[in-house]
Amino acid sequence: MEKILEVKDLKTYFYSSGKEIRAVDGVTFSLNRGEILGIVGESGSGKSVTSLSIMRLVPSPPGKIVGGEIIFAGEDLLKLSEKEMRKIRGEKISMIFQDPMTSLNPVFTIEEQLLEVFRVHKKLSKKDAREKAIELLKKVGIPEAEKRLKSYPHQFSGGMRQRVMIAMALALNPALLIADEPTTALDVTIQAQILALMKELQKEYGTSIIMITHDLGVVAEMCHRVLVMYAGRPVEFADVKTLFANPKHPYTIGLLNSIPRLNEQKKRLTPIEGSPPDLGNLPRGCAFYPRCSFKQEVCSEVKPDFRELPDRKIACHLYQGVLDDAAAS
Amino acid sequence: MVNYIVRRLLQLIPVLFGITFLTFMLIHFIPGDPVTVILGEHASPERAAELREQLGLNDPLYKQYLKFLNNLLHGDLGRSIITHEKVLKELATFFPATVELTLAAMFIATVVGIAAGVVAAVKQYSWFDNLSMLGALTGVSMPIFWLGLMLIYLFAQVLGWLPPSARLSIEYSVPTVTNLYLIDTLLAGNWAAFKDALAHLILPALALGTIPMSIIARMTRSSMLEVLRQDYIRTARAKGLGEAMVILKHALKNAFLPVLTVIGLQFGYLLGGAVMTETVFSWPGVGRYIYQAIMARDFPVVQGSITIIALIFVLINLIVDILYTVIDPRIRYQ
Repeated sequence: MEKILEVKDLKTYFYSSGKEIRAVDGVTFSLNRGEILGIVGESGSGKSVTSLSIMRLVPSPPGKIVGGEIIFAGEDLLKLSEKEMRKIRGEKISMIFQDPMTSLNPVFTIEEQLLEVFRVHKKLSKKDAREKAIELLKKVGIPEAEKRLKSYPHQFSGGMRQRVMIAMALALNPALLIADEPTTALDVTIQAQILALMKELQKEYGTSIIMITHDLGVVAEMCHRVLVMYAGRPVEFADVKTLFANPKHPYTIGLLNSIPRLNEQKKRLTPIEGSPPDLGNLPRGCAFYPRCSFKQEVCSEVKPDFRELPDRKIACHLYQGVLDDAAAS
Repeated sequence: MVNYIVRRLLQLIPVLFGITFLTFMLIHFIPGDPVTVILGEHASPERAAELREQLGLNDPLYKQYLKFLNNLLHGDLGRSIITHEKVLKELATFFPATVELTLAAMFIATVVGIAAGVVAAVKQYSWFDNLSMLGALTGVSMPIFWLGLMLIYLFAQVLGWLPPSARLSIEYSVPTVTNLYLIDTLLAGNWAAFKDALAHLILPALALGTIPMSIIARMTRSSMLEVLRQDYIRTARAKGLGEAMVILKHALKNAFLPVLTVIGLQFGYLLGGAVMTETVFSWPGVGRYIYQAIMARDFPVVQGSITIIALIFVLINLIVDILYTVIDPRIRYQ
C-alpha cells in the first residue's frame, strides 16, 4: 500500500526557563493512503504536539522540532521553507481541532472564513467559491446552507461549528486530515454524529486521517491502526483488531483494563496506578517503569527501543527476548 | 438598535442636567466675581453694586440657574460678561481649533500606537518590544508642557524646521468657513497656506498625542498578546494563511475592541481642551478659552462651554458603543 505519511524519529522539545521538555521524543509511525490512524495517550503524552509538528505549527518559541523526518507524499516537510509549507497547510494537509467553540474566529462570518481557504489556495472567483462553500456546508449536514453562510460562529451550536470546521478542512480535498480530539468537547450524541460524518466523508473522498484521541471507543469505532503514546514516546503500534484483542505493552494493557465494558460485572474499574511523569524530569530508562506492574531491573536503566514484532511495533523490554529469538532463527 | 440609540439619547437629559448643575454650583462657590475683574479692585462700591445688579448677579442662585436652564433650552448660552460676545459664537471660533488639534493628535496616536503595539506583541520580548514599551511608559509619565517645550526647543529653535506657536503665519489669511484651517486653506485653494497650517499643527499634535499614543500602544500590545494565543489564530494558520493575514485580519480585529474604548475616551478628553498644550503652543483652542473664563469668573462662558463639551463627550461614547457592534457581531443592543 502507498504510504502517504512517514514520521521517523520525530523530536519536538520545548524550552522554558532553562529547562528542556521533551514533549515528543522519537515518534515513528506511518500512514497509508485512505487509512485512519488513531494516536492515543493521556494528556501530555505528546499526541497534539506530534500533530502540530506535522503541520509545522508548534509555537516557537518555546517549542522547536529538533530532529527526525516527516515525509509527506515523498517530501520531507521539515526541509520546506515557511512559504512552501503554507501551500501544504489547508490544501494538502488540513486540521480540525478539539474545541469548535473557540476554533472559529468570532468576528467573521462563516462565509468569510470558508471562502478564505479557496481564496488563499485557489484563484476561484467569489461566485464559484461561494457555490463550493454552499455545497460543502450541505455535505457536512448544515441545513439552509445558503442562509447560514451569513451567520457568525456564535449563532451555531457546538456540533454545527464542528461541522463547519470539517467543511473548512475538507474544502480542497486534502490528502491528509489531522483531527485533534474532534469530539472531546461535544455531547455524546453529537459525538456519534460527527464521527459518522467523518467516516462517511473519509469513504467518499478517500482522505487519510490521523485521529488524535484519548477515547479508545473512538479508536475502535474509526481507526484501522493505532499508535499508543506515553510521555512523548511511542509505546505500541498495531492493527486496531490486534491491539484490542491482544495488547502487549503493559501501558496498553492498563489502558484497555481501565475502560468499562457492558458485559462485565466489575464493581470497580482497574486504573493504572500512579500518574504520568514530569516531562522535564523523565526516568533514565523506560518512562512507564515507575507505574509498570511487569517491571524488571533493566527497565529503570535502559530505554527500550521501538522495535518490530511480526504483528506490531513495541517499546518494551518484556519482548526483548522474543525479539532476540526472532533474530536468532 | 434604534431603540437603544433613542434610549441613550434620552439618558443625555439627566446627564446634562447634572453637569450644568455641578458647574453652576462650583463656579459660584469659588470666591471672587466678575465685577472685580471688570472694574478692578479699586472701584467704588456703588459702581460695583450697580454692575452686579445689571448682570443679574444679585438674584438668588436658584433663580440664576433656572434662567440659565431656560436660555439653554432655547439654544441660547448667553453672552460673555467680559467680551459681551455670544458664547456660542465664541465657541464656534475656539472649538474648531481644538477639534483640529485633537483630530491631528489622535490620528498620530492611533496610527503609531496601534502599529507599535502590534509589532511589540508579535515580536514579544524583542528589542523593539522593550524599546517601544519603555517609550510608551516614558510617554505617559512625561509632563506635556515639558515635552511641548522640548519639542519647540528642538524643532523650532535648534533645527528651525517647524514654527513654534500659533495656527498660521501672519502673512497668510484665509476666509473662515469651518475654522478648521487645514480645510479652509484647501477650500481657498491656497496650497502654501495649507502647508503652513500643517506645519503649525505638527508640534502641538505630537505633544498632545503622546499620552494617548502610549496608552493605545500598551493596550494594543496586551490585547494582541491575548488574542494571538486563541485557537482561531491556530485555525487561521492551519488554513495556510500568511502571517500578515493572520495578524492584521484575524488577530487585530479581535484585539481592537479594548483599543477602541481607549481611543474613544482619549478623544473625548482631548476635545475638552488641552490647557497645557494650548498654552505652550499659543493655540487658540477651547482649553485656554475656558481657563481664561474661569480666571475672569465669566460665568456664562464657563457654563456654556462645559455643557457643550459634556454633550460631545457623551456623544462620542455613544458612537464608540455603536462601533462595538460593527466590530464584534456578538455585541447586540436591545
